[in-house]
Amino acid sequence: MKQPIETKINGISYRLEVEPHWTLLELLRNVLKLTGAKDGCGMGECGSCTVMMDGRAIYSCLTLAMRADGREILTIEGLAHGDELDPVQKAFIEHGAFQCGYCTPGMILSGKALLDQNPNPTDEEIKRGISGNLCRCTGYNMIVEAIRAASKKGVSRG
Amino acid sequence: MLNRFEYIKPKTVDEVVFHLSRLGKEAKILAGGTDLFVQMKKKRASPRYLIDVVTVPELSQIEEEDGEVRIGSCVTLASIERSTLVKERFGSLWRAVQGIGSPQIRNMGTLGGNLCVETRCRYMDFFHPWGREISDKCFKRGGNLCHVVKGGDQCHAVMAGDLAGALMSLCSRVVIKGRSERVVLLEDFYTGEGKEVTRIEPDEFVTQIRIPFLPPCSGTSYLKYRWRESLDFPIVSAAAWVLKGPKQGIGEEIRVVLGALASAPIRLRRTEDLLRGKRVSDDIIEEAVHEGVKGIFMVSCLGVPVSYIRKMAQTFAVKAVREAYEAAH
Repeated sequence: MKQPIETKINGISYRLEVEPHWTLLELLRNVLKLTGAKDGCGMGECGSCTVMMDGRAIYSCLTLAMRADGREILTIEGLAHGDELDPVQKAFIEHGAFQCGYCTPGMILSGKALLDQNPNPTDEEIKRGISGNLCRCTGYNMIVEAIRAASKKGVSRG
Repeated sequence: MLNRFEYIKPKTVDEVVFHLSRLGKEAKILAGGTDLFVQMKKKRASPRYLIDVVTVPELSQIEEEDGEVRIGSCVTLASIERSTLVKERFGSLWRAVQGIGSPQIRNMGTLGGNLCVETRCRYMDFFHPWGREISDKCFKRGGNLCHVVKGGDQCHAVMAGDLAGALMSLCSRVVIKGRSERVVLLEDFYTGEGKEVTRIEPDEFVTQIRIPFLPPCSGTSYLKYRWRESLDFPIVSAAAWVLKGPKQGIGEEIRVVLGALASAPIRLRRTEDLLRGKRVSDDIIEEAVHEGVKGIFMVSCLGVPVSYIRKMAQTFAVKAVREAYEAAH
């Protein structure tokens, strides 16, 4: 039986009816058509479903939609301010930090979550920050470079 | 896709207990979900009811009381990682937490969940998902044989959670709440059997972990050996605590625990006996660990030969003990 939740996704308040067994990823992709978060392994290993909940990166494939009740969710679709891309997004473009692009939304959000907590991370800290995201094209060097570049531009303006 | 279930969200510990006693084995406790939902997606668990305990405020506190640190079972691993209290007082626990899963897993996963994490098994995790049923059902699937330990008379799935060993080396206790409350040593918390891995009854759940403050001149260490530096469970983990006495170089008290080798963490009591009250050197530590590891039954949950695991257990136990001695001052 569907149950009501109230949540804020990308700055917009929603009142939704969700099935208890839906994951947050299913809610985002199937109901709200926010397909930026990807359905990769579904087991919390690849990180392509990463979104932010109350400012922290989580795997939406292992989170119930019910858990979004009363929380704030940020997906890749909500990262830009109007036409102005987030510094992490800009840095990914400038540094060519994607090939096939499948891991990119998760990588960017993991990078963003890291920089919000730690605006000036070392390379080691950046690697730890994205250690829950896999890139099968193995473009890790550019991803680390992009996050490093975004950190210098002082990304943590929220 | 997850199977359908009924979702229950109690607000207090008493409400959790009420629902557990009402629903018994049909219900499962939902904390971070990072392990439970994987089990459910693989159709290894199909609870009819999930009791979500993460929003119960009493379970998310870290407090100091009666000479111990009390950490609620639903405190996330990330909160423990950020806790200066834990970092300053229990270096080994802090390192163990830091090595779990990935940043996302640590943001979601909880302390209680890590202690009750599903056991790992070479057959269940690697062969069975590919549709290969070797022969009859194993213990874990409700049968009566073990495909990993030939002739084994119980399920030998491995307890590979990081915090069990680290917390055991710190003499921690677990608070279990059901109709009444009981506090058990973490050492008595695990059954040593792979299917029913903890001694929690169906109408009980873990509410808190209590870690006594270490006496001055203590040193701790936690080491984890695994293939990749993130996401992987350990092939072997080693935790140690050493209390140095007034005389230089003599360890008054010591604890060494190996993890990920059996259905419960293994305390190397023989090693502890050999090192207690002794002036130690590298040779003495190596000899004591060698004696302690000798004859201990080990299971490989990752398909690594047991002979190799045995060597790694020896190596990492020696390193952990040495590090703990060095950290003690």
